Amino acid sequence: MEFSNLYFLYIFLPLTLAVYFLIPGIKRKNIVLIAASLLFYTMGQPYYLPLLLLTAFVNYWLGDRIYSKDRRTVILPVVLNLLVLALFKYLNFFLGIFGITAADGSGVLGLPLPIGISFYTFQMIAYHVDAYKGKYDPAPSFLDFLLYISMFPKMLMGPIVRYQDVRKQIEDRRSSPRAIFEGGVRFCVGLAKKVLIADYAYLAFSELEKQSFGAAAWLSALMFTFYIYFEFSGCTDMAIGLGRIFGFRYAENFDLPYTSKSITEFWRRWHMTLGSFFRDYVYIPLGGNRKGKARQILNLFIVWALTGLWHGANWNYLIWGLYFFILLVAEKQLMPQLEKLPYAARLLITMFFVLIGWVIFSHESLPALGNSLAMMFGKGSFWGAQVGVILRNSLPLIAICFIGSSVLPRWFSLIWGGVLVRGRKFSQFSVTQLIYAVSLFLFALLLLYLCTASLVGAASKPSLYANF
Amino acid sequence: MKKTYAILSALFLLVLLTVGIYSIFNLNADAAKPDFTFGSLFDGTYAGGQRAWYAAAFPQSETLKSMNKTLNGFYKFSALSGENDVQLMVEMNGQAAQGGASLQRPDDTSVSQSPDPSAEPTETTAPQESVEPSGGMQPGTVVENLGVAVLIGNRAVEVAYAQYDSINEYSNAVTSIATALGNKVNTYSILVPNAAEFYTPEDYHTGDSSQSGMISYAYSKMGQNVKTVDAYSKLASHINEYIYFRTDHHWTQLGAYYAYTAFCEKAGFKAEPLSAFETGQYDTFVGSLAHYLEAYPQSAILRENPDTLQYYRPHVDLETTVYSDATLTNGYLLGTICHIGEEESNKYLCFLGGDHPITVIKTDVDGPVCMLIKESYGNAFAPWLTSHYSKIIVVDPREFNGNGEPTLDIAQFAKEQNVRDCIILNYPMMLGSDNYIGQLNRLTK
Repeated sequence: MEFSNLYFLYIFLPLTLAVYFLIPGIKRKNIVLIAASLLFYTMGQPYYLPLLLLTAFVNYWLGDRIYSKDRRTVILPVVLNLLVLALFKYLNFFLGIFGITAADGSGVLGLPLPIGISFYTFQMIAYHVDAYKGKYDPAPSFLDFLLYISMFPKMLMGPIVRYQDVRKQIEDRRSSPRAIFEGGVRFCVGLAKKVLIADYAYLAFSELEKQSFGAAAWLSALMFTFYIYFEFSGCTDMAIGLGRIFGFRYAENFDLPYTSKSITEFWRRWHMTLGSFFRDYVYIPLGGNRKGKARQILNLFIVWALTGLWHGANWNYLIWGLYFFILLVAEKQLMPQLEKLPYAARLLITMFFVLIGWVIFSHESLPALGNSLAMMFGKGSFWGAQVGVILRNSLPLIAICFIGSSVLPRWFSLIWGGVLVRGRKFSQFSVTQLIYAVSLFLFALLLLYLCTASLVGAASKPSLYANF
Repeated sequence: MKKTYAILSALFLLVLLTVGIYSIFNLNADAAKPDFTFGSLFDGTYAGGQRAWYAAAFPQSETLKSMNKTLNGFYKFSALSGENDVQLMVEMNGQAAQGGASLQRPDDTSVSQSPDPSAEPTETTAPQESVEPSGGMQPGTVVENLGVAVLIGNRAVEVAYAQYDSINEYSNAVTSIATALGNKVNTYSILVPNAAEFYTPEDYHTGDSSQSGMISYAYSKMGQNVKTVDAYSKLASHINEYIYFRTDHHWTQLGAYYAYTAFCEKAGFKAEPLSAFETGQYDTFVGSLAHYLEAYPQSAILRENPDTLQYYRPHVDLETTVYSDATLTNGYLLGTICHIGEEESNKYLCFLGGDHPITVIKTDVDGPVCMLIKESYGNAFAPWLTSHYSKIIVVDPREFNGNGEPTLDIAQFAKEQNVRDCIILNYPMMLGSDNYIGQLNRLTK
């Protein structure tokens, strides 16, 4: 189940919150959260619930058994998790490379992708590796572990949460009124990013994609660029907001990536928990930059091939990952020259390459990808009246996208908060703090209302997570 | 400040809970609930159906509806458009941003555009439950992207995009039907343009949107055993007449008449003059495209300028029976094939009472038997055939051979019914519809 539907907003979520806050005791609250999470998962793919429970149990059991004896056997659970991921996500793709497909050209296994599998298998791998490194003791009980893995706020679209970040919170946490409030506001902002921007940007993207004009290809690439940011970061905001309400602090995942001055910076700001996962569990264990230039480049190649494939079992994702590998290696060489350029030029250059990256990402069919790129760079006519209409129809959306992905909203909230809250003690009542809190509250309610109006009667829109 | 935040947080939860509880007690009873089966519970479609049902049944206050419309107007901004410019372009995928509006694709089920149960034919003489129109897409039907709905001035049209693979498939399907019917049956293909071809700026009917191009391409790919009919030229020479509705995706019966004259030339009949038919009209017809675009404020112009529907009633004696399957049992009689109650909003149901699996029109004409395989464009066309055939069997391929639907082997059926002429009539949106092409294909498999 996705967050952006009325059933989640007005049935599932309030019921879960009500039961959660009415029931006393952290252990009971954890059980409520586990039950809600499993129900949440079941409402999407009931048939994969046993898989989730089984992998969670096996991982917990292995963690519990292994570390008390021989920590070096960490390799077993890591391989097991990779096998599960390979079986459900990549087997058809790899068999397809060798021409092994079903009669209709689809995968031989015919298994749908278990939603969230890329997130939860990675979290389990991180769990074992970090326990092996002695960062913490394994989870004290299966329920604790299951809660860590299945928590519904971050189950489907991350962020990738490390066990050490939530270990203590699982055992003891308090949802302060302020955290609940801020979590609620963050959730509404995320919901609005998804429903009021990303969904409409996707519609514009798919309309433009059908037009065979160069301008349409550029505009559709732009709309996809905005769509994927607002979709993914919106879902992350919702996850972090819900986590806050329940007393958890998840790591941030996006930090204004479209303001980056370089590709390197872009990847420090985009899907940060995935980047740090690959850094900590692939790049550094492979030797990172400590074993010479050639080895570093090989390590980067591996990391970026895996990053690409993590996003989907298809050639275009692999190409997309390697495209960034090439850009990053090239950028390292050219950095002294690039740094001399003004910010606007560096931003434009970065966003140009990011945008081309999203063109690769958004086309699973390689001929269609080739066609789109060819149109962007001169094939066929550039302009048609239909493109003009879509552009004119989409002007407010495009303006919102530009503003929304810029630094302006953050500045505004900092200034607004700064004017009203700075220098005042939280523990003491003050009118300015009250104005601040009430303004945020009304803003969140307005967003919720607009999202509800947008979702009423609409069929549920497919979410990005189907790929992950 | 702790208290302030506690109060605001509690208020927030209270808002969610109150809306949730209020919604449960005020759900729209008209929204269709998903059917429960253990299979659907297990594969997740039941829960998905529940969510879709809840979204559809969610109580919509006027303010919510009006905000929905404002949002749609904002995201389809047209304030900078001139009066004669294209105001709106909306994908014909049935699940765009039109929350709250009727989301049925107009091409899929013409009957379904009227949610009103009175969409059933009037003047019936037998129970009708067995032939209730399906009213929507079958579960599991793939939602297709067939083109865009465009609003220009006070007219809305569907713009199709040529998808050559699909057109090839369509032509193959028609050829397969001709082959299955054999040499003794004349198989005609009539592909007719829609209003987008004649009443839009150049870019909307040229290049990949050229319907003349799509039609010629489709004809060129059909086998020698298919007789192709050039209805296009006839319609093109009458574009100053009222041959298409402005608020509906169909043609008028006058438009269908010009296609009929083209058919007569091909089939060797002498076309009846228009003056031979009794005529009348229904005012205030707000059609399917007005409904499709309802959630956009720009579409108000369609409601303010409704269509009128003029019908031409056959002058031969008729007996028209509607059947739910090809066994031709348990049918019910339709009083007349060009009539509708004044209270019915979807006036296009005037023709044959809408879409049915099989409609058999028996006439007192001493002529051969004809079978018309069609979607709803055929409904306005069928009445013209009554002057030449003793029996016209109208078949809607969308009602057969799917899950839970009756079976129909078209060759066997045509043989049993002694069919001499088979006409397959469609409009260009069907050339890109893999669903429809699949349904045509299943008639011979």
